[in-house]
Order: sequence, then C-alpha cells, then structure tokens
Amino acid sequence: MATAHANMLSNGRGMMSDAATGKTSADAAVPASRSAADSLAAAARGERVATETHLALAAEEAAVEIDDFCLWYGASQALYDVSMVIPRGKVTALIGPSGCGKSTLLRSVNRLNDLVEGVRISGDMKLSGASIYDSSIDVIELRKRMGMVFQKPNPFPMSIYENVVYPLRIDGERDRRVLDEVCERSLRGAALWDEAKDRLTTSALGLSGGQQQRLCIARAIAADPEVLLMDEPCSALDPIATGRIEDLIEELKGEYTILIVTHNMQQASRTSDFTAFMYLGSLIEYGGTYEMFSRPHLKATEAYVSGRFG
Amino acid sequence: MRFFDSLARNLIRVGGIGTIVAVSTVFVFLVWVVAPLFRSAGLGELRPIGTAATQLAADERVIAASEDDTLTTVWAYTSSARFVVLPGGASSGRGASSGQPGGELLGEFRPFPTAPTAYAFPVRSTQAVFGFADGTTRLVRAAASTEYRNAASMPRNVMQRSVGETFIFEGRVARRVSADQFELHTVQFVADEPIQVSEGAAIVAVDASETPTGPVEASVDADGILRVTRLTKSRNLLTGMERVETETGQIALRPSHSRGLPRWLLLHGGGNSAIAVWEDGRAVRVDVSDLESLKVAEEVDLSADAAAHLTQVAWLNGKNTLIVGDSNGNVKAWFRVPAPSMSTADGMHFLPAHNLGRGPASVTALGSSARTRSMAVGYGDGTLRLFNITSGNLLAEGRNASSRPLSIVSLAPNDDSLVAWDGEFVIAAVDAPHPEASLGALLRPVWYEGYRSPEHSWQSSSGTDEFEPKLGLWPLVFGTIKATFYSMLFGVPIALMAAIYTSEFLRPEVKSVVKPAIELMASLPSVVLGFLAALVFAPVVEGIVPQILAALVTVPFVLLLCAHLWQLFPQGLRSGMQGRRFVLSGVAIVLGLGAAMVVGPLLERWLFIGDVKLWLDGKAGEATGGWLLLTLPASVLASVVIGGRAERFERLLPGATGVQALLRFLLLSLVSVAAALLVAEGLSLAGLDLRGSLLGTYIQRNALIVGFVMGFAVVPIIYTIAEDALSSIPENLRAGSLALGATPWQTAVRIVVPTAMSGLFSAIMVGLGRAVGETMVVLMAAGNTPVLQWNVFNGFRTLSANIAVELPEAVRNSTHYRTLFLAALTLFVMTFFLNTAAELIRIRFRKRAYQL
Repeated sequence: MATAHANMLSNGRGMMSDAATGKTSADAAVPASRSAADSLAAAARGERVATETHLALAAEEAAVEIDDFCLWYGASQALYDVSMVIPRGKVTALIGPSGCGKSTLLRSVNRLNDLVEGVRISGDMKLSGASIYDSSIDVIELRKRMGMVFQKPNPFPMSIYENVVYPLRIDGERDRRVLDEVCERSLRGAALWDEAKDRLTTSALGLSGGQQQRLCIARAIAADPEVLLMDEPCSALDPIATGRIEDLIEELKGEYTILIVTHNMQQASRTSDFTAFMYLGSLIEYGGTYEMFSRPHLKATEAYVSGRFG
Repeated sequence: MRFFDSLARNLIRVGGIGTIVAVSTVFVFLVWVVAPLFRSAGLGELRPIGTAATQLAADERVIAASEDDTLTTVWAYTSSARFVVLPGGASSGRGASSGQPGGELLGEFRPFPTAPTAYAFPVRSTQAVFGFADGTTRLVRAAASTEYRNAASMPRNVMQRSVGETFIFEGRVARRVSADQFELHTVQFVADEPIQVSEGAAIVAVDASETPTGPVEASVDADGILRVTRLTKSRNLLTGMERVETETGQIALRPSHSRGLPRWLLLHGGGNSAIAVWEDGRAVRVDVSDLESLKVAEEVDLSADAAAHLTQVAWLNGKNTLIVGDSNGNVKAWFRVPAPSMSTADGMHFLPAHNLGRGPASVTALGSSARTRSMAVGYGDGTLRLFNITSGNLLAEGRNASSRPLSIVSLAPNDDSLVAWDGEFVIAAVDAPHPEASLGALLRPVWYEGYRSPEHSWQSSSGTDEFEPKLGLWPLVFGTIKATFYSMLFGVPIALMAAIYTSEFLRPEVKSVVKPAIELMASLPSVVLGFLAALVFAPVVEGIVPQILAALVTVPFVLLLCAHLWQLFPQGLRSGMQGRRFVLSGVAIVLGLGAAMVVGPLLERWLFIGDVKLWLDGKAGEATGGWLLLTLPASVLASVVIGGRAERFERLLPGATGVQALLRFLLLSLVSVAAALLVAEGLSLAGLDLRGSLLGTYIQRNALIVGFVMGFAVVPIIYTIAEDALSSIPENLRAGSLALGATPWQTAVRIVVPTAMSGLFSAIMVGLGRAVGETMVVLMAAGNTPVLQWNVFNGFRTLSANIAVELPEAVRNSTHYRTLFLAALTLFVMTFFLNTAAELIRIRFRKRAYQL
C-alpha cells in the first residue's frame, strides 16, 4: 500500500513536469491566475491545496456539505482537506486522473469506506445539515437515504422484481401493492419498465450489461433516496448503453441530487451541472460544468480537461 | 519443451485414468467377494454308493446314517441293532471310476445284547442314545478316526497305488497322501454303560442333549412316565478321579386327548424343556429346568391340517427349532418365544414361525445340517429339498432317479454332501456355502429363533456353532444414518454459522488466524477424537446430563442477551470496541455455560424428578420435560418469525430502539418458554411421551457423545468449503446491498448465503460423506450395540465400525465375511452417491458463479 502510494506520487510528479514543460505561459483567459505547476506540485508534496471554488456554487442549496474532509488508508492519506458543497437537485461530476480519490470521496459520502480495514478520517460531511460522521448516527439509516450505482453492474442473483424492491424488503415491507407500485415506478424511473415488465420474475442475471446497470439505478432509486451516488456507472458499458444511461441521468436530474464519478470528460460535460476536478486526493477546482470546461480558473484544470495529462 | 509438454500431458492422463481404474477395481473387488452370497445353491445328482445294499440283510432297514467330514466313510445304524461302516462319497466316487472299491462293508459294531426299543440321533451326530425294554438307556459315541502310516510299514502290494488313490485296506478306507505316506480312515464306536432310568417299564422314546454342565437324557416309558436325567461330571482335583452324579425328575404324561404313548420325545438343546409328540400332532411341552418338579408348560397341536398325521419330527441344529413334517408334505418350523403374559409355566410359548410350504408327497425324512440352519427334506416320491430355515428359502431341489422315497437323509458335517437311503445308499454332492444369505434375509425383518416376531437384527457370531447368525444389515445402515444425523445436527449449524461469521463479520487479520486454526482441527486423527470421546468426554457428560441439556438453551439465550445489552452502550463506545466483539462473544458463551451449570440441576429437580437418568428409564415422572426439548426450539422459531413481523411496526416509533429491542427480546423469550411449557404439558397430559422413541435409557456411550465429537470432526470440512463458497461471492454484491442500507446481517442472509447456497450445500454433502464413512469415533464412542432406536442417549453400530470390529474375526469366504464385504459395498455406494451429488451441485454452483 505504502509503495503503491509512493509510485502514485512519483507518477504524479512525472505528469506534473510534463504539464509544466508543455505549457509554459499562463493563458490570459484564466481569471485567477495560478500556474498549473503550483497547485499540482503542492498537491504532490502533500501540502494543503486551497480549492478554487467558483462563485456559481454559492447560490446553490446544499444537499451534501463536505468540510475539511481527510481520509487515510492506514498510514497513507487518500483525501486532503476536501471541502465542497453538492447542490441539491443537480448533477455534480467528479473528474480527475486515476487514483485521485474521486471514488474514495464518493464512497465516503455513504460511509461505505467504513468497511475497509484501517480507514481513518477527519473533518465531517453533512447530509441536509445533519452530520454523517457523528458517532450517534446510525449508518444503516444514513445509507437508506442514499442510492448508489457501481462501476460494474451488480444485480443480485434473484428476480428483476426482487432486485428492485430489495431496499423495501430489508425494511420488512410485505405489502404486495406497495412493492408492485415501487417496482413499476422505479423501473419506469430507470427507463427499464418497457423492457422488463414481461419478465419481472426472471433472473436479473439474464439482462444485458446496460439493462443490468439501469436495473441497479432502479434499485438505487426504489427507496426514494435524497442523493444518488454513481461510481463510473458507464465504464463497463458499450456506447449505446452509455448513451441510454446518460439520458437517464438527464431525466433524473432535478428529482435527485446526483454525484457522479467519471473518467470520461465528455460524459462529465454532457451530463453534469457542476464539475469538481480532483488531483492526488485534493480538490483542485470546483465550478459550473460549462465554466470548468471552457474557462477553468486554473491552468491545471485546463490542462486536464483539454486532455494534456491524466 | 514439447517433450516436457507431452510428458506432463501423458503423466496427467495416466494419473487420471489410474484413479478411475483404482476406484473401479475396489468396486469390482467388493462385488466379486459379495456375489457368491447370492449364488443359488446346487444339489448334485443322487447316485448309489456301489452295492452296499447287498451287504445288508433283505429285511434290514437303515435307521440312521452319517458321513464324516472328509467324506471318506459313512456309518449307518440299521434295524438289526448294528452299526455298519462303508466307504463314503469321496472314496466311492473315485472307486466308481476305477471300479474300486465296491460298496463292501468295512466293519460292523453290535453293542447291544438285546434290540433297543427306542433311539435318538441328535443333530450333531457324534452320539446316539438308545432305550431298552428293561428300562435302561445307553449312549453310543461314534468318532471318525484317521491314522497316518509310513509307506515302510505298509505291505508291498499297496505300494503300487498312485498318490491320491483311494482303496480298502485292512477294513479301512486308505488313501495314499504322498509317496511315503498313507491315510487310513475308519469310524470307531464306544458304548457307555447302561443307565437304569425306569424300573421294569420299557423305554418307548428317548432323547439326549449335551449341555455345558454335562449330558441330559430324557425318556418316556411304557407307563407314560417322562423322566429326565442330568449327569453331572466332576473331577476330583487331588485324585484325578471322575465322578458322575445323576439327578432325575419325572412326571406322568397325561395329555387331555391322550391316544396312547407319544411317538417322539425331543429334548431342547439347553436341556430345560422336553416335548413329547404324538403322531396325530398333539404335543406336550414339559418344563424340565427344575428336576424336582417337572411341570407341563403347554399343550400344542403341531399338525398343519386335520387330515394329516405327523411323519417326521426333528430338531434343527441347536435343538431350539423343531421341524415337523406330515403325511401331506407340509413342513413347518416351530420354536419357543417368550409368552406375552407369562401364561405358561416357563413363560414361553411354542409357535410355528416358519412355514416351508407343501411338498409333492408325504415327508419321509428330515436331515439337519450340523453347521447352519439348513434342513434336507425327503418326500415320498423321491423328491429331495434343501431349505434354510432362518430365511425360509428353498435352496435347492433334487429327485431320486429311482423315484423311491428316501427314508433317511443326512447332511455331511460341512454341508458339502448328503447321504440318503432308499433301500440302498445314495449320495449327492451339495453346494450351499451361504444358505442363510438372501436379499430378503439381509434387508428385511427375519423371524429368528426365540424372537417374538420377525425383526431386524445383527448378531454375527457367538461362542458355539449351534448359534443362529443374525445378518440383518438394516441395524447397521440405521446406525450409520443415526450417527450421521446426530453429528450433522450438531456440526452443520456450528460449521455454517462459523463460516458465515468468518466470511462476513470477522476482520481480515483475525480471519487469517481463525481459518487455518479451524482447518487444523481436520488434521486431528479421528482415533484421538474417539479416544477422548469414549474415555474422557463420555464419563464427564454422564455426570452432567441436565447441565448439557440446559446449555442448549442458556448459551444462545445469554449470547443474544449480551448482544441486546451491547446495543444499549453508546454508539461511540461500541465503535471503539468493535474489534473486541469476537472476544466479548467468547465471554458471553462462557457466561452461558456458567448459567447452564446453575440452571441444569434446577431443571433436573423440577422437570426430571431430581434424577434425569431415572426419568429417562421411563418408569417415573411426567413426560413434560422431554417434550420441552422439541417444543422449545419450535416456539422460539415461531416467536422469531412473529417478532420479525412486529419489528416493522416498531420502526414507526422513534426513540430508544436498544431498550425496546431488549424488552422485546425478553418478552419473546418469556412467551416462547411459556408456550413451550404449555404445549409440552398438553402433550404430556394427552398421554404422549417421547421416552421410548427419541429419548430413552441413558447409556454412557451414546449418539449425543458421537454427535458432539463427530460433529467436531466434520466441522472443519464443512467450515472450510462453506467459507470458501461465501468468500467467493463478489465483493460488489455485498457493497451493493450495504449501500442500499442493508445491515451486514441482512446482506449475509439475503444476498451472500442464497448466492453461495449450492456451495454451502455441497459443503454439507462433503461433510455428510465424511460422517457416513467415519469409523474410529463411532467405533470408540458409540457403544457398538446394533439396536434400532432413535434414542439420543443410546448407542448404535455403524457399517464402518462393524467392518472394523468384525472383519479380523471373520472366517475367510464365510457368509459372515462376505456379508461384511456387502456392508462395505453398501458404504461405498452410499458415500459414492453422496459425493457424486455434492460434485454435481458444485458444478452447478460454479456455472452460476461465472455469471456474476
């Protein structure tokens, strides 16, 4: 773990020097001028990097607030003082090169990282104003308020119907009418109803990859969560299936607060309202998606979104 | 490189095929050993021995005949009151081919000055007893003797005989064994001194039995007086003088429908009961165990139908079963069984247990085997049938070529030949090595001698040759099933729970210690486990039965109580102590055991009249306590289901859920116990009692002990495979479930366990295979009593333990030996099917796992 982390750091340095040599003069269009090398180098050194947060976010109502959040896997630190506000009803994308801590941050929101051995945190997160990490919080209840979609579709080996109503089942719901209603609503919500309505009792494992992922989304929204966490939901899918998921995200926007991790910059620009750029565990820049992709404040961000490194 | 590739490929191929061949060879070998058991018996052609008849006087009848075990000589007793000796089947068979030796008499023996008036030739015909007109009886012993002589001492004219040739020499049957050795066979007779049993009245029927304390003789005289004489031989240790003491008892036979004197008198093998039989089928059985007062035990009618009269009555080997043949050809086997209500003087009842069917003509001869429960029956039309009485099977049937009735049939000591008389001597080869074996006799209930009804029984050997072997495999199969059931009942829940706990709840670094530790348990030799079970565990458990029973309740209760109390601690403290939960649950189990030590004696006083073992004997106390063992788990299960439903409504109420849960738990526990008690009391009042079925008399080495200890042997296997199956469930399924707000427990129960189900099932099947074949633990701790009882507190005998115990003692190629191989074959088939099923399920599981 420690050596892997060291490698990651040295890689980071390599990339950073590439970026520094490739882009010597600062772009005049960038309003607040800090050189790409500055913030990235600071992040690589493990120093605290002040996040460049756009003013557009100040107007948004917060669904999740993250305050000075740090996270360690054993001795190695994975997140450095991340502070951000996830706006309610909007789609927020987390981008950044591999190993930058996007997924870790995402999994910290519903405390799924608790399961990993040796995880330590500092700082706090708040869901609708209530602390997530307070010791009096019931993690189980907390997770019920969030849905999560994983990188690889993970339908349970049971029928499509049972997959969708699983969150209700674990709450002890037995009323058939309620279950039927939730099942239909969720499948419609995940745009899977028309394909699946005639085969609800068949195994979910018989669905195609894209269908499986939509089923996972249907399952995630079945319990009517406040926040939907998506961890690279399209990375295991073909372009057509990816397109359908992206359409779906578009439809779910407004109803749910969506936090999505993606490697695909186009996807981020297409689907999200806000984009956060992370690098080596630090949140570098955070702002409206259009701003982030067209007029990022930082050189580093621009270097990344324009595909010059990462 | 290619060379190594093909070398490896061929080595693997050879190994694989070799394994299959080895397993099939074992199977084929077992079948090969077992198969002769079910081969039908053979009866050779009946053919005359030379011209022996010409040596007897024209009106001389043969009354008894016997062949010796080498089949070289036959002796016969004839109506001229003389014994004659002639060459037997082995010598005449060879003689016939070489025209030598003819049926000449080798010798005769006339022991009696006057002709006897009664005679009897007991089954193991080394001795005969005769009664005389003057009221005396005499024993005559016949012994085949063999003498070896050097060629040097033989006259020249026999030296031309080739090796192996048989001839008559000096009135004996001689055989050249080798170039310089000859074997001389003959029969020698010794007549004892007469014993005066009756003053003046002639003896009309007589019988004798050899008992461990000495011979017993019974006789009936012309006045209808039955006398029994017991001869006790004692040897003076100082002088070496042998003294014979006689003791006599008598009773007048006055049957209710007396028609003169009885035709036969038959004394039981034990010398404790005698039966006088009239030709019309009436019989009086006299209890002669106390010579000072002989008592008529019962009168029975032995005739099968009123129109027939009895023609032949004879003991089967062991003199416990009476074979009765009548003029219509019916043959039945009668023996004593304990009378249900002690209605007879000796508490026994004479019953027709086996009906061997009706023959083609009247029964003319009965000849018992001296080593098995077989009987040769001759009929009036010359038909000869060979029966096994235990199994009731007709083994073989033959017919006298001359169609003359056989008046004497006698099986040779090794059942390999028979000699008969139809006016001349006839012999036939017999091939019935396993007369008592048939699928029916091995697997269905069989009516054994002295049993009240047909039963499954396994008792393969005893001290004497007269014993009836009981080769019912079912008690052993049952024992195997019982051992497997109780050990699985104990082992499976523990192993599966442990596997679920390890894979779903235990921290990886603890798991990396715990798993190998449990797997190490599997390497513990089962002989050590069995030894511990039998010599340490069994005596300890015997002393603390109530505590053990209490522990079944208190340990889970205390564990759950502690879990609920744990929920009351503040969240912060709980998360801090998370790592030590493992240790804390250990403490809870110890507390539970402590509680059992306290509660056990209280329960014993309250439910089991203060002494569990006395209660288990079933003579005292109410049945309530026993029923609790069943009703309590049932009511707990019911309340868990009901409690689970109630939980949903509780969610609506906010607040201190920990306290609520604790209260609910306590309430449910109380309700369960109360409900269980109520139902148990009800069942008890309804007159139902578990004692006699699932519970019963406590034996120190029992199914409970085996269940614990064999469970211990099975746990590591089930645990390892189950844990692997659970761990192979992809992590993203767990994460998916947890992310939806499921608790780790819900995730385990609803997602992980169902997904791994076939893996878990195959783990159980593999454990089952181990439990079925396990030998040492059951051998040492199960008591090895082949009884058919589900009673947890009684022992049993499994197929495997039986093989281990008996195979070293079994005579090679005997029925017993082959039956043990059949037991092995049964075991092989059982484990083969279990393992095949496990493998098929594992393959299915693997297919399913690939989809994930």
